[in-house]
Amino acid sequence: MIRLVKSMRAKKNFRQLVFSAFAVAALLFMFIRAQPVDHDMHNSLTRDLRELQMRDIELGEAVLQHHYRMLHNYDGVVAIMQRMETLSARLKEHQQYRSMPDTPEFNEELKIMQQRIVQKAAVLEEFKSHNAVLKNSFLYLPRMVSVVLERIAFINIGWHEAFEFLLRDALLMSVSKSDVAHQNLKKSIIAIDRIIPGMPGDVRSSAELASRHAKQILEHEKLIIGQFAQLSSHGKDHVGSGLEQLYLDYYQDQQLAASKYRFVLFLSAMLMLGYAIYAFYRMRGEEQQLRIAATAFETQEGIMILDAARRIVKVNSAFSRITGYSPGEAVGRTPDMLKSGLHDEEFFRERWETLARDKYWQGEIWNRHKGGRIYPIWLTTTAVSGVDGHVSHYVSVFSDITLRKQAEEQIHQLAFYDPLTKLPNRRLLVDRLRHTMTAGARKLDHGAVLFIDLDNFKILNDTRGHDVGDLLLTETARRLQDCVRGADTVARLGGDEFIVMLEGLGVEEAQASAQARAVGEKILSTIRLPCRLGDFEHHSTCSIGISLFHDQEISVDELLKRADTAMYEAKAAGRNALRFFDPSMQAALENRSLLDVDLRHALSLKQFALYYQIQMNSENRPIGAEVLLRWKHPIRGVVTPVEFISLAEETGLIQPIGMWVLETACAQIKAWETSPLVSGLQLAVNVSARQFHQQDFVQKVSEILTKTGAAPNRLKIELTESVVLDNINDTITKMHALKQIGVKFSMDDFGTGYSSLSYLTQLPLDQLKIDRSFVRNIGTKHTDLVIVQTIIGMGNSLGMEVIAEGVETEEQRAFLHDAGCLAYQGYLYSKPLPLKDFENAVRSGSFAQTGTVL
Amino acid sequence: MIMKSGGLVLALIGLTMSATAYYYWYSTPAGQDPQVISGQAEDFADWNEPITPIPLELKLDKRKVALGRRLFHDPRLSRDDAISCASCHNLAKGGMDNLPLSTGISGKQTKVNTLTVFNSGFNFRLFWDGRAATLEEQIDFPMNNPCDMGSSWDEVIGKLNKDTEYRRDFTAIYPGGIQPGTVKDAIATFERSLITPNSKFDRFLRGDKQALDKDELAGYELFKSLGCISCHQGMNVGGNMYEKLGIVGNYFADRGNVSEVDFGRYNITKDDEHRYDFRVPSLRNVAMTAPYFHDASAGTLENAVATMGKYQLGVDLSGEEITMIVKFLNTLTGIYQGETGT
Repeated sequence: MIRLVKSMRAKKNFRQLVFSAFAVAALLFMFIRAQPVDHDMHNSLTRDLRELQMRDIELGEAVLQHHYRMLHNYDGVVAIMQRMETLSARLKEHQQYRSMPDTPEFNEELKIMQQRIVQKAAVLEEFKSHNAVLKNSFLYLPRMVSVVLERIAFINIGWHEAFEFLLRDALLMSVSKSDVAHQNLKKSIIAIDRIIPGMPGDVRSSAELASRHAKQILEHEKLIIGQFAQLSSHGKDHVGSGLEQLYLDYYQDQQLAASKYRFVLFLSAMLMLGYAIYAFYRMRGEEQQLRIAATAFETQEGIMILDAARRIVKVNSAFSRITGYSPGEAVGRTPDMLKSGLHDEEFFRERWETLARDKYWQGEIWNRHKGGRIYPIWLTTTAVSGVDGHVSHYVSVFSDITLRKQAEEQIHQLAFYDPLTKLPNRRLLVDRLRHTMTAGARKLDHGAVLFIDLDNFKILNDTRGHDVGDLLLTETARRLQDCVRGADTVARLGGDEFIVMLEGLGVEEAQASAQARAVGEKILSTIRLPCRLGDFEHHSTCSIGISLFHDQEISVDELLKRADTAMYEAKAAGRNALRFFDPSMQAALENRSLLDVDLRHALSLKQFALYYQIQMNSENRPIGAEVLLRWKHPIRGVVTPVEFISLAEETGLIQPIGMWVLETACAQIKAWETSPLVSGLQLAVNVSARQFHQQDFVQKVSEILTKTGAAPNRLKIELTESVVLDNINDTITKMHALKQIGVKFSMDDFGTGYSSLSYLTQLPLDQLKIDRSFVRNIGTKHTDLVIVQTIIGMGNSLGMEVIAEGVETEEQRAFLHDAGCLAYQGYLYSKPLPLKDFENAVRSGSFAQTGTVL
Repeated sequence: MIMKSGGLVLALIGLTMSATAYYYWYSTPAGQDPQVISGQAEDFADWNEPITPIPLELKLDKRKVALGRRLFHDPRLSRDDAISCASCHNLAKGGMDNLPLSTGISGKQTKVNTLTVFNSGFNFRLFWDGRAATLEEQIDFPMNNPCDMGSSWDEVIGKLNKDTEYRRDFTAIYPGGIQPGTVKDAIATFERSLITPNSKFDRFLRGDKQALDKDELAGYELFKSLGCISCHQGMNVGGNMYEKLGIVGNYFADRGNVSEVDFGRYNITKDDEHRYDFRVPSLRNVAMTAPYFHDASAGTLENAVATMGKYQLGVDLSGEEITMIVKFLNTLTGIYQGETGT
């Protein structure tokens, strides 16, 4: 696998190498071609070519001059010829040195040049020889002819003439060289030759000589023309001109080509320069990147870079700081060296699988420091792929999360444990309870909750200070823990409240109960033991409330509440005691919950009824009635408000019920309107503080009045003092608002509340109701008597009616009457009656008699 | 990283190109001027003068001259180590041996009369038939001729190599060491140094009108008027053209015993036109180089002059004419400044 990767990389390198080599070769090629023809070589070549042609001209001229007797020294033409031969050889050499190419055209021209030179050399030799002969012949012919002429001066005119002609024609020949001259000379020579045999002996040799010279002239002059033609290039191409032309064309082409290549090279250079600049800036950018990367590398987090074979390639200083291994120790090894042994193979397999699949893995790993310490890290590993798509490196970044873990632990602790006692807190307890209850439900196993409250803890805190209190709490916590098994939980709820949760108490309730009691007793006695708090000894007790559970029938909150209730029972019983949550308490609770259900339906099922208790004045005449709510439960029978009102108030049912009461009362008022016996009666309806403080209470009352059509002044709303306690301003506002409509107000249970008189005097009350407790004590308790008197006096002074409730004896009535109270309500007259009975009683006037009806 | 290697590559390219350029273009041909072989015609402004004086001095490499002198006198250049160049071209005797024919190794004789080595550098061709164009070329012929030195270059080089002095001297002058080319160059350089300036006639030509006496001057005038000067002209008083021996008269028919050597230039060119054509010999130092003509047929200068007049000019010269001409010819003898021995 690695070899394959290496070979692929090598192939890439090879390709790069090939490309570079090719680029170099191309540039080299262009550079060579971009060179113009070497200046010196070109100059020397053109100089030689020029000279060759010049020498050629010189040669022609010299030859001519020789013939016309202007030159006598052949050294010159010899030198010229030799020079031309030298130049020819040099020009051939130029081809060797590349200033001339080795092409067929050039070779042809060179050959032509050489051939012409060779030819000229040969012809020159001819010329030299013949010219010398001609020279001498022209020297001797006239001499011979003159000698002959002298001798034959008067012998033969014909001869004389012939020789004269001979001389003339020879001279003409020298000048003209034409065919005509040639013919003439020939004729003259023939003529002479005919004469010579007939000439006298002494003159004959001269004549023969003359003839011979003439023949020389004839022969050589003819030849000389051809030699001239070959030696002189006047008007024709000089030797080497063809070559020169060829070369100049070639030179031009070369220069042009070179300039083209130069241009290309220039472009390449510009491109390279451009690329170099670009690469320079990019390199700077890359350097910047590298610098950033290097800086980033040296972060606080440990960085470890692995190669594809999982061997460590590079680590930063943070790595060493965290793991304890220096780079030298780490590089080359695998991360296995950091293993703590706490993770199984499965863990690591999963890690590498995830890495392979997602190219990424994050998680917590416990490693071993070089020094042996185990520490946790949060590790992020990323797989880096190379350009070929295969993973080339792994980059791992990790940080030591020991502190974080500690913080987590701390948070966990804080979240679930009480900081002072280190016991589980309420949250944890609830969680455990839930857990246990779920588990218990399956097994029908019993468990128990012990609600433990330290007695008089507040006093200790206040007297000895919170530090001491804390000491007690911690000691208590410790002692509690000693009292329970490991599986059980001791928790601190807060303050001085502790919970002990017992589980696994068995399926039998009695047995479970006994066990719980035993534990409770143990706790009581343990807590009772003296406790050293700082400098002094403290004796402390506690109250324990125990509640059993064995299924999920109730919620955790409910369970705790029961235990709490039981604990309060224990406290109520005198402290330092334990109480089980009473079944009857349970029953009562159950009953209550049942009641709650029934109560919700009572209104819709029309189970409510209004009872009326008559209110009489001092003249024994009915003035009004208090409306009292009764619940006719099909099973329970008649349920008095005492039993359900608090529940109604808790559940909020009081609202609809209360409104129903008001509505029914008002309807009744309206119904009685027509009946003179009852039309004057004022109905007093009790309204709870909660009901009264509803935002829309005034509106509702008004609506009811409107709806029923009842006369508002027949309605009297009874409030208790607690209504004032809640919100005096609201009370005043609402009372005024309703009073404006005409509704009357009465203060019920006057004197029993905590409100101040100043508050009360602010209320627009019409009536005060003396509480029955005072009335009852008339005659027995003097203080209550005084209170009654005071109330009556105050009421009368303030212009309010005063009515006493709970009047049961005539004695009481008489006293009240004497005190100034002129209205009475109570069993003396009647108990609350259902409507029919009430109406009958009013009609029959049975209220007038003293004595109860029932 | 790419940039680093890229930059390196570019630098290498630049270096390679520069190196190649330097090697390629700036090694120009030596551009040497080949040795001017003969005449040094450019030196003379006046080609109109039929005869020009020999230069007083030649600029030659003294070391080569000295080496060439040793080689010239070295008999190891012949097969039997008996014959040196100087054997036939005796510098004390006028550059040749004054014999009709020379004797080579093993007593063999040459076919034609030996020409003088003096002023031979000014001849446009060497040998009677002009077969050698340069002194260097000339050396090959006697060396390889069985009648002459009968040797070969391999033989000679081998012998020379054994001589430490030669080896040392050759290596000092020639990078190539002892090679046929370098040996020839040394010998030829030496031969070129064998000039005989300051003859009476040269002094006359240079402006000394008193250098010639009445007869000598008259002889020169005759030389000119008779037409001898048509062929015997130039710095070397001849040696710069070919001419037929027997223009007006048939020399060979009259002499008889015509052999191959008599064909002259024909032997080289095989052109019938060139039969009996010979390279015109130089008349400098002619008074010292008897016998005359290729066949050494003229034992005295007077004979030679008479023969020339009869066959070349068709003139029967009088004794007085011949004397005067001979007197003139004597003025052509120059002075060799160098050593005649080894």
